[in-house]
Amino acid sequence: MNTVDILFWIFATLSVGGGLSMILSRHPVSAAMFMIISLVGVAALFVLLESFFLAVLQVLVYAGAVMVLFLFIIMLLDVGPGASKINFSNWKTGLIGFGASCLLIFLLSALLSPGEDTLSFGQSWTVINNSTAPAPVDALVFSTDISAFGYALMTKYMLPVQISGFLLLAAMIGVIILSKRSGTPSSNS
Amino acid sequence: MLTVTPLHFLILAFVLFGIGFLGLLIRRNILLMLMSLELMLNGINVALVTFSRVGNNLDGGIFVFFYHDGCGF
Repeated sequence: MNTVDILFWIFATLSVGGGLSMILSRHPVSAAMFMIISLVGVAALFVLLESFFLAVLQVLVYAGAVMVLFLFIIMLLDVGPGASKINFSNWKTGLIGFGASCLLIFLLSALLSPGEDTLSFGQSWTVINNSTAPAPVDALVFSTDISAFGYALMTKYMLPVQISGFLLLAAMIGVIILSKRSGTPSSNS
Repeated sequence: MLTVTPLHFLILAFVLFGIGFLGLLIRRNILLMLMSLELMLNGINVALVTFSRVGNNLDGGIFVFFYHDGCGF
């Protein structure tokens, strides 16, 4: 049991414990704080999986921007401790639904897996070679280099990049229109 | 059982997804339901990055990049 295993168990406990504390917490702000802890644990797991770029993006975007947005909304809407009441009225239905969905996921993964390639406890990690040469477009080789990521974004996944650009443009136009102040006659254009 | 295989990461991803799903079911406020939804998405992220590492390609990482960081707001 080497350092990587100990680190995995530490950060797995951190993220799962943070998630459990988040769904059972009494105040929405403490729920957001536990969520941040859980997200940092997941970012550390990304580092263990050698996706350093995604780990840094997780901390910057998720724990840094999305959770701050959540905290701003909690502040603006003045969500108090009364909002975190847990719905115990039909807990039997919720438990049956949760158990049924877990069973469904397990059955689907057992039935749709290819059989010989299923992951077992004995399977180890593949060895990656960290070459910075541009990979063939259809088969992207895993590398920890950001330039490989950018290369994949610009060649194989160019269409989703453009579509997400259009999506963000539409969102920006919608925000501008929705937040335009009505009733002021003067404008500087 | 002590050394970490990809299956450990996938079980962790499923546990995170399940906890987020449970939080989505038991909460009444829409904001806390949204936070549980984000936790579910993080579980899916862990599974995707695990498969990207095991399959030795970057497709999982790019999928995570798009819906998590690019349009995840």
